[in-house]
Amino acid sequence: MVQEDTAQQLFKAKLVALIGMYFGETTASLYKAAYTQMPVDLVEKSSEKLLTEYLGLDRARMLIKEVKGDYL
Amino acid sequence: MRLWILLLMVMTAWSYWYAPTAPFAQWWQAAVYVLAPASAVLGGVVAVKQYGIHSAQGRILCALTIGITGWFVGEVLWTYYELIAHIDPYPSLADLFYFSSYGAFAIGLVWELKFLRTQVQRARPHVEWPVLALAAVTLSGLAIYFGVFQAIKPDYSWLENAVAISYGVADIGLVLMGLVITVVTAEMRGGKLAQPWWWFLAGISCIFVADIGFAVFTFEYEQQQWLYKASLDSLWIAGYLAMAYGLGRFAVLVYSAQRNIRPVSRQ
Repeated sequence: MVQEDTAQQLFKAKLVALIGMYFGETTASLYKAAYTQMPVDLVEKSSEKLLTEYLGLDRARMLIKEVKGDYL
Repeated sequence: MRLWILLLMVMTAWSYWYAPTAPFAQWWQAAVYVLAPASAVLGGVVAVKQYGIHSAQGRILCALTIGITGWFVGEVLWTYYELIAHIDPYPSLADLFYFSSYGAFAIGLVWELKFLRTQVQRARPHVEWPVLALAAVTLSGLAIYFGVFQAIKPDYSWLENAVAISYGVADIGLVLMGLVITVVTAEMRGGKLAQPWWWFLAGISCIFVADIGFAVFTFEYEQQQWLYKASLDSLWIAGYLAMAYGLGRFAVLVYSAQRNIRPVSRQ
């Protein structure tokens, strides 16, 4: 488990919730399990990659930016 | 799914266009006419199962699937009245199920729009509202003119005319649905999840054109005149198959997103 502060944990949790909203619960649980093992910068990159691939670059960037702005 | 859709397309081409007078052609036509919306329902069910009913997108797709199910039941009833009971299927209980679908579609698409809007607060610059407004007015005008005014037949009963007018009004709903889907796809442009929505839009468009055609050529269709029946049925079938493919694509895309993370989660 990667050591991180509360804000980073919340950031990860919010990204997982975002994935859950767009891809469903099963996908979210898979990403949640993976993200607990990853540092926050990799989590951000992974989420951005996923969201860009499926939602388009503009929407992905805006979503990540809004979530990041709330927590980091 | 692709093979199945291709098979139904071949069946449509054969039974309606290539050999419409072949033995049992009417039954083949009826089979494909019912299997097409059934495929769309199945596509929706698979997509909802992949997403899960507790997710926002899962609930949205569930609403759309309920809408398509209404159309499917309507088609089954229509086919039963026409082929088995030999009762004029228009107007009938089938129309009640057709109409009920529009409500479920509207709910699903409004949810989708609200869902996208709540995720990103700023208005998106890509959506060209004047163009969409013009398209909405033009298509709604067509729906009103052909679907309402042209649909009124003096020698039809008041019930038949009332149902015909209702379809014209409902087709305005189809236009608005199409616009919502266009906004949704614009919001996700460049992303793979836009594709299924484009297919759904293609399906709605085919059904809109077929509905307008039915409103104008109701008599010819009811008389089973070949060109009108083949054209309109083919359009409806194409619409259902496009929706089936789109909904199936949702499930495939979600599955591929899950596969993307599986190698990482195993590390």
